[in-house]
Amino acid sequence: MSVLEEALFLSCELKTDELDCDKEFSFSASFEKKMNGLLDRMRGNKYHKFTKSAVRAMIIAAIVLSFSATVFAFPSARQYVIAQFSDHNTYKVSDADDKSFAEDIYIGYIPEGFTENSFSEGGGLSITAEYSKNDRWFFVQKSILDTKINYDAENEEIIKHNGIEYRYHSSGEAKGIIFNDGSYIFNVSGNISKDELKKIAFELK
Amino acid sequence: MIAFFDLIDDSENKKQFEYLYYKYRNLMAYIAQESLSNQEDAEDAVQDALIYIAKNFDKIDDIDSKQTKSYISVITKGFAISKYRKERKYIYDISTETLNDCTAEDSSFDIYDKTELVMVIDTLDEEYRNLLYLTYIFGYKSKEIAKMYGMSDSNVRKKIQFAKTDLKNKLKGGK
Repeated sequence: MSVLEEALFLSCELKTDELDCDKEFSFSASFEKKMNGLLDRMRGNKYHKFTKSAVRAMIIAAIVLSFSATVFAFPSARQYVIAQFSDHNTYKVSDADDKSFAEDIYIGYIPEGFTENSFSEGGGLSITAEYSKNDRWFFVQKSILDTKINYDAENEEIIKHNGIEYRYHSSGEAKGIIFNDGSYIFNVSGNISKDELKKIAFELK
Repeated sequence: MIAFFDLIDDSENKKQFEYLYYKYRNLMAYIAQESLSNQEDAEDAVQDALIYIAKNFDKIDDIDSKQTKSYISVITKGFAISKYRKERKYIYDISTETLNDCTAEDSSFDIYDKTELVMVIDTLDEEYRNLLYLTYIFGYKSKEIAKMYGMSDSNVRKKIQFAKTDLKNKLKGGK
């Protein structure tokens, strides 16, 4: 180790000693709300609501193709990559460096009779809302581009609508649609019909 | 599937991340606020830093260690400076002319006393000092720092060179 490196180590240590972790910072209510929501999700608290159906919709796939990843190009949306694993697929935007925070969500179409069960903001990183009617449910998610979406994909289909490529996937009762509009990634999942999911996805902003 | 949930894979790491968050959040906020005048911006910088830390969670070994505390403070400062720069459309470009002909090679510091060098490092501007910490202590490449600080790779390299030249000049002046 050179003298410069040794001196930098020592300097950094001394600077660190001066820092106080215990002095309370008065965070804003919105920050606390966002972070609490985010940590709740990380702990898995909110996922209990989705139970097996949701988990089925989001994870575990069985498609094994002859290639591991394919890049899809699309003019208005970002390029995205589908990475295929033995038990699930992952949707990821290739160039997600310039992120816009997800501050709000617009759900332009909600099927008749469905009511909101939960709504959560994840510190600008993601917003989710869950709706249900009897035993039917769906949830929508808007996330920053730098997010990976894992999903179950026994069956996949590409739907093109208004210049955007929507990836529809299904496995048993659980279905979902993932897409990006160039600024955010959207994910709609549920055990409702494909047509209803499409209507919701097409009206998400 | 959501943000931190996605960025950190196993449940033990998720617990560790949460522990890190509560341990350092006050410190991070104060560090961010030093560079950013309003609270909202400071909180945004804390969030950016947390995303970055979550993405690079493998770089953290012992959360309670001094090394982790330094790492988190340097990273947070980086994101706060980056935010400051973006919001004010601040372009910092050191032209090569401002650099001395004398390029301070690392080995050229070997003739100086370590304690003396530490004292001179303390006189550097915080941003320069952090760039040196990131490079020499945390092993960051200029490209990685550029991404974090929101500036070009060449500017980072120039600044590191400038910092070393400044150190050398101050050491010479002190002799």
